[in-house]
Amino acid sequence: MQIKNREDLKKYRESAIAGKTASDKNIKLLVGLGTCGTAAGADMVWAKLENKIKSDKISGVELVKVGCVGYCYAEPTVEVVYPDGESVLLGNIKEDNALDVIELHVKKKTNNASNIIKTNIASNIFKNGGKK
Amino acid sequence: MSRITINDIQVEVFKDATILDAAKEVGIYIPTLCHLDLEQFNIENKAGSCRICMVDVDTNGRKKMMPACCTPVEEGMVVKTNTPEVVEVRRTVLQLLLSDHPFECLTCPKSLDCELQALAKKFGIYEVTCTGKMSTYEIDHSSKSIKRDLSKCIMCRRCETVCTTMQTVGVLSGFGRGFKAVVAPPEMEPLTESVCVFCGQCVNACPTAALTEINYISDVWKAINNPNKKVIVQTAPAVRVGIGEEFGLPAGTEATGMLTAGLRRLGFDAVFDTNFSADLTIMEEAHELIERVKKNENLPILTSCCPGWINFLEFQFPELLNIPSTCKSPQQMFGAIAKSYYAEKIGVKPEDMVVVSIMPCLAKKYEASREEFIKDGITDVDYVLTTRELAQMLKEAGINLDKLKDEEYDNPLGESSGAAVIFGASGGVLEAALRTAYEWITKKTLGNVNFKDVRGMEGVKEATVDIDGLKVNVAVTSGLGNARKILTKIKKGEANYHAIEIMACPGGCLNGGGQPYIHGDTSILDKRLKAIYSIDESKVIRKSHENPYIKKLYDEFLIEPGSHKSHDLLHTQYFKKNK
Amino acid sequence: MAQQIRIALRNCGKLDPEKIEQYIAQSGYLALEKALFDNKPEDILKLIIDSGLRGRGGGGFPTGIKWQAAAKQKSDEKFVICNADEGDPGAFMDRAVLEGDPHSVLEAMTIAGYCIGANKGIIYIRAEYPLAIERLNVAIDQAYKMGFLGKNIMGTAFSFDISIKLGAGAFVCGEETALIKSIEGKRGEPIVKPPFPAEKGLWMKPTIVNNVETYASVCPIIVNGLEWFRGVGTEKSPGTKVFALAGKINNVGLVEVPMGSTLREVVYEIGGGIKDGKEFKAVQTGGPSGGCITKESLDTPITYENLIQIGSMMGSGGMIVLDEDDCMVNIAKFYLEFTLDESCGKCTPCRVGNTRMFELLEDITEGRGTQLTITKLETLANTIKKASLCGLGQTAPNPVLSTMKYFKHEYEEHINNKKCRAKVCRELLTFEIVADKCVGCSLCARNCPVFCIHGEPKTPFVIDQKACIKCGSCVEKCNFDAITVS
Repeated sequence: MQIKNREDLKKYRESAIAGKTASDKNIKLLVGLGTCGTAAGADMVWAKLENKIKSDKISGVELVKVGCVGYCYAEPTVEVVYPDGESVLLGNIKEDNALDVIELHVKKKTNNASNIIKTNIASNIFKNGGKK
Repeated sequence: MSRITINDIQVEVFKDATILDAAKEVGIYIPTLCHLDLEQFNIENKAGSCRICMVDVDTNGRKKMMPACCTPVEEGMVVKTNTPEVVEVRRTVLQLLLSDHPFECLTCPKSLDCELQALAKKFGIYEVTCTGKMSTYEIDHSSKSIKRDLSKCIMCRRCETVCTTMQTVGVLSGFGRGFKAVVAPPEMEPLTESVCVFCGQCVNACPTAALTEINYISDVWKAINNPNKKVIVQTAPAVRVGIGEEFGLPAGTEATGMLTAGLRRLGFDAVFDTNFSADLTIMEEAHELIERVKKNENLPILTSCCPGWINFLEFQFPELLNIPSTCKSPQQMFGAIAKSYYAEKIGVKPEDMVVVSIMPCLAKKYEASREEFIKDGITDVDYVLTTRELAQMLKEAGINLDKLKDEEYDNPLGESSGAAVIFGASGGVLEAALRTAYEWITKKTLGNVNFKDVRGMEGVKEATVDIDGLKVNVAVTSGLGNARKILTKIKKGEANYHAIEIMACPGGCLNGGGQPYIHGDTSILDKRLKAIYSIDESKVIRKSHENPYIKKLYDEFLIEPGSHKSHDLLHTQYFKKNK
Repeated sequence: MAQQIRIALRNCGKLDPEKIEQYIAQSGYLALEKALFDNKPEDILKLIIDSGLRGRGGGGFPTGIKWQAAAKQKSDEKFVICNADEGDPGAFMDRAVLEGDPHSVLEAMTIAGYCIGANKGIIYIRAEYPLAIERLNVAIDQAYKMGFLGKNIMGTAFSFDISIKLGAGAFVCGEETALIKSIEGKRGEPIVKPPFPAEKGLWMKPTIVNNVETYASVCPIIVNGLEWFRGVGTEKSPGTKVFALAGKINNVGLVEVPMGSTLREVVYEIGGGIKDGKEFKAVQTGGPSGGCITKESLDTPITYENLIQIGSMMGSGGMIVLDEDDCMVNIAKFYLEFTLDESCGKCTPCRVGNTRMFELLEDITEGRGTQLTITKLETLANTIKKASLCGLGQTAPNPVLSTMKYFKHEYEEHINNKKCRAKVCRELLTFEIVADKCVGCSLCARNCPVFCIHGEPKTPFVIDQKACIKCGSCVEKCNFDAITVS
């Protein structure tokens, strides 16, 4: 769609936000597919997850391709974001443990898996302070 | 105008002046190396790369060392040019340059003419303290004209500026990175595989010996020493107004007589003048001009004396190959006549005759080797020496040119008119041609022979000459960048000229690639120019067709301009050149 | 516990970079909307100046001031250039932004164009970033289709185009004038400033050059206001900075922290400390233009000024963590070698001077150093800093100067005792066989490439020190730990 004036943009933004709100109801798997992630095998992880979700017909799960999150030492990474806003960032997800993401973090919420880097990363910058 | 302070002296200069300009204004010397200002031609190398001209600059409290040659002045600037710190930095920079420069001054062709050497002397550097690895490159002597020794390249970029900006030939440019950076043809190919036209302006611009001429002195000595050879020499018009500089005479000294005497001392069997064949060129070229103007076809006619420009045409404008005059250059005409007419006259077989040219030019070396000028194994011209090489030879022989008494050229190939000597300056060929063409067309005597509109150092000069009602539009251009503009116009059909003179070197042959180095002092060129026209003025005969020996040559040998024999000996053709 | 705060990387890892609707749902193109519909160019300019945003790519020049200089110029054409020619060893935050959030850069460039009166933007990106280029291309396409780029953006009178220009990965092309030359199709080498690009830049027209991270920081300032932005970081260095942590640190990666965070926070709290429990020695910041920060400065707040004060610089944000196993002379040599490779060779101090400095460092690491070597290094460094043409040359001696300042003892050890405490400089090492431990198996002797280990079987062997080339293969082969290196 072509934005021809401010109204258009407003409408488009509203629909984009609505789309986001709808998709936020899913469990989202954010797979880091930057150059570094891909080099570490993130595309394999993506494929594995995609196949599993399809073959097992797992509903309410959405795969999202994202850029680099910055955790180079733990590539590939997958961040699991739950509908309640909570999240876990998982590192060192390889082809062989990719399905653990589904088993441990989609089908249930495991908060003590060894490959969890962080939980509940603040995703909204605007809430943060940070005066030095 | 901006006011600045240099070493506590206030100076007011134009807004876009540099610190160097301002310093000159108040007589403060700042050493430079990469900087080259060919003011006459509007060409300035401002690479700011050598960093020898660093000065302390305080611009409203911002303090920094800046290169004087390319930093524009700013109102209120306070400049110090010789603080101990500045001197230390300059010395270190110079040390660095020297640390990657071959220590072979004793055997270097530019020794005592080298700007880097001069700076080392000026800075009193008697030891290079910071030694390390040195750049080594294979020397390129692929061509007949220009030798490239990149181990002596200091990345000043002067050659690049003249080759690319002034001449628009674009062969030389920065190549490689870091320590290995040099200025070279694309992919470091030899010059002969590039589109180089051998104008030699790069050689004139080079402050060191990274670019020099290919030297033929020893070949000439060998020929002179060979008792079985008749070795004759010809001297181009511009040589006589340049060579004096090599012997400490003031620029613009007219040294024809000394030059002739010197050449005789060297042992040449006969000393002749390219000016003679310049007159001959006019006979043929004026004839061709009139033919083409009469028929109003294949116009404009372009002069063909300059081999650098002919190369440029063959590389860059192959679609215009039919427009230059078919006349050989005076150098080649001389050789052709010497080895036929003159050889016959004195009963020497052409193969036993050696023709040496003294030229202000490097492209002439290449020109002499062109296949068209070699017939049955006989070359028109055997060796070409530059003005600089001749000076070298004279010095080697212990001949102090400046101390010699004037002598005359030999005959029959030594007599010339005033129209011939002006070939050495931009506009001269055309002026000479007009003097003759006028009289031939109108059958009247030309009263005022001076066509001043086409004289001078400007890059493009235009004039309309009224020849008895026939309006002849002429243009004169020197410097290949200017030539490109004119040629592009012709190509597009936007030019309305009858005749055009083109010289590759800005200002013409007096600024040729083989002339004594001017180190950026273009006022020397003005003096050479003045000398050329003063020779013309001093001549009784100032029109080529009035040269008695030329008349005799036609009577005895060539019959008339444009004759079959003329065509055979004096005309040539041009070929498309591919890189 | 120190926390990351993500401004430039706000969307990286949060949304699909190829879906513009996700960007828009996260306040994307809100800044452009505010700029075009609610503000005059000078309002936005003032906001950027007041925000105190400084260039994230090197020197930290105030972004707004740069924009203002270009805005003041009268010209029929102006240019907005994004420098994505990231080349510092170990730094890749720009790539992360372009791969993870390309629209944030396009939006900011468009706003910059609106501010300075430019209608053309060029992203100069190194060809070694294929994925970033691909995602940029997708984003540019989307922006054109939706009317965020092109003629009459969102129906306003303002038009702006962005194109991509690929660089061949020459480090010096990160220098703005060299970058401009490269875009013009010329040899990528710097030219003398002034005139500055803001006056005479690309094709001699007013031009601003900012790097990716700087642009990525622009939109949040407009959306959230300058109070919010100035609320992060310090007075003179507001906002955040992305650092690329590398070297001997546990959590290698990208972090974005408020300006003024201390090195201790970054290295220990966010970076997880030194690998394998080794001892922290220093952090090299600013890449080949910077210097090292020592243990003593671990608690110094990281700001542009503080880093320069301690002999380093912010640079593009590479942070290489060094531990006890790193030899500081060798580190200086490593960075200088990088500069040598990347120098364009135009000016004498950089072309020849840095080569000479490198050779002097080689003298030190290979055991030929004397006190004179140090003096020469100092003289050269001084001249190179003052007389080089561009930033690359002017800052090239920094790693040497900084290590000489803080680790003088290591230099002295190399020179006076011919010792390298980190056991990095091979020529200074001595390999010896401990007689008590050697069983005389002759394995080392059989593997010595120069046959300089001698002895009778079953008695201790001896290394001929004069012949030893210090290759270390004996140490690797010995099964009894009988060979010491010192």
